[in-house]
Amino acid sequence: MNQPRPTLPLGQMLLCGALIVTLSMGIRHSFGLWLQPITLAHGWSREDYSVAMAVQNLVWGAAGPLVGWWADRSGAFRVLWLGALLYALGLVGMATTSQHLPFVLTCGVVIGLAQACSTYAVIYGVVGRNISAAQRSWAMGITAAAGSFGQFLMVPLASTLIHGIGWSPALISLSMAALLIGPLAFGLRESARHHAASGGPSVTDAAPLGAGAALKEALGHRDYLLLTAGYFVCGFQLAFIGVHLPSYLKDHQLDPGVATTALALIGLFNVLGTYAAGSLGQRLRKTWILSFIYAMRGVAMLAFIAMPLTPISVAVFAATMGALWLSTVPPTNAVVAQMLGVRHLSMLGGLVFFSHQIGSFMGVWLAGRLYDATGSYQVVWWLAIVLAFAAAALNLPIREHLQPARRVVTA
Amino acid sequence: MSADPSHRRPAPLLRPLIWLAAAVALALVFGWYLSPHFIVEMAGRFWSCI
Repeated sequence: MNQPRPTLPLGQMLLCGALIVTLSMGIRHSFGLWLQPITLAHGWSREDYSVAMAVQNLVWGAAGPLVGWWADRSGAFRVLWLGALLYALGLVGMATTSQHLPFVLTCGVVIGLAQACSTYAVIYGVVGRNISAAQRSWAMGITAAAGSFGQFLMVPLASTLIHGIGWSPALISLSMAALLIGPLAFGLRESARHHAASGGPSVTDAAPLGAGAALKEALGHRDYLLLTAGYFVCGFQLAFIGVHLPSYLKDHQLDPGVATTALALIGLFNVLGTYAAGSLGQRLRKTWILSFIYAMRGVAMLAFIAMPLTPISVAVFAATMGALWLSTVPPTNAVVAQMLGVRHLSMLGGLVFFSHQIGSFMGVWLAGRLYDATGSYQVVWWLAIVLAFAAAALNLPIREHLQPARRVVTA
Repeated sequence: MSADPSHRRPAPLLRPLIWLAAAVALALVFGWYLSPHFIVEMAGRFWSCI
């Protein structure tokens, strides 16, 4: 392999990448806590707040490939700085606006863009370019586990802030925390020479493809499309369970403390599962890991709805789903890098993530709609189970090795 | 694997410390969910000590 010498020290790259993802994913994960205080303060309905969150998720996904293209082209440093500034601006907007449209623009559009600029796809581009293929999955596991830890940490932290200083100052505090992403980006600043030299040649020994050609190649690549379809299911399941599980437990007259414990267990096992998936990706075929994760989600959901609902069954389900929560992130991105190279990893990873976000949108929206239509979540649970086994089947035939077309590309 | 020394994984002696720090952090946050007031009070006392 003709891999260029990495310019970023491993510890610096992983520490800064992990802290950035901890902040960006953590802040985003706490937004549910502001639903009640903000809607009460402005006299809005829950739907008003939900619209802004739905817009945020879609903007995050839709902007991902474009932001990824920019990060692949110019390096992650400027993109992360823009993400930090947009995150802070959006949070200040959330804290200060009392009109719905500006709220949708700040909380939805601005923060959605900020998330696209500061989460996995951008960080993984740097990690992919600066680490050997043998260590890539493990390094991606570390970064994803940091994002999981951020989600785990930020919920009680944001709750303490809201109760301690009020919802609006709490948002201002988070905006200052988001600004830290900027200085941390210095730890991921690649030299222009290395950035230009990395990617295609290191993986394929062929002339590097341009972004348009890489996109065209990816969209015509059967295995990339299968991976993208599987990731849609991931988004669907996580959004459905994350948003609707507390209501499901409440519908079955379980104590609110059970939902809190479930949330804590999901957070705790999410960190462990994400790291484990990344580490296992070094030793096992990553598409088998993905198949296993999706199949186990199906088994866990099937057992959960088939057995009597008790605090114990909820705890076991939460721990199992937690271990499988973001564990799809490292193997999915590592497979993209392995199949299509690292030169356009942020853009191609961002495109796969767009599918995840459409799945998230469908998971939240369809679950609510089917609940209103049928009076229960039963249909959605079965849909999520069927999709889990379908995703497991979709990932099995994916070939991780490089495709012959990549090897014969000419300059 | 990369031959660059800066790209070696942490030394064997450092690994248990990293795992210990991670375990303590996870346990504290888990406790924060289950008993938020206790953890906030403990954090306040720790802060006042330093």
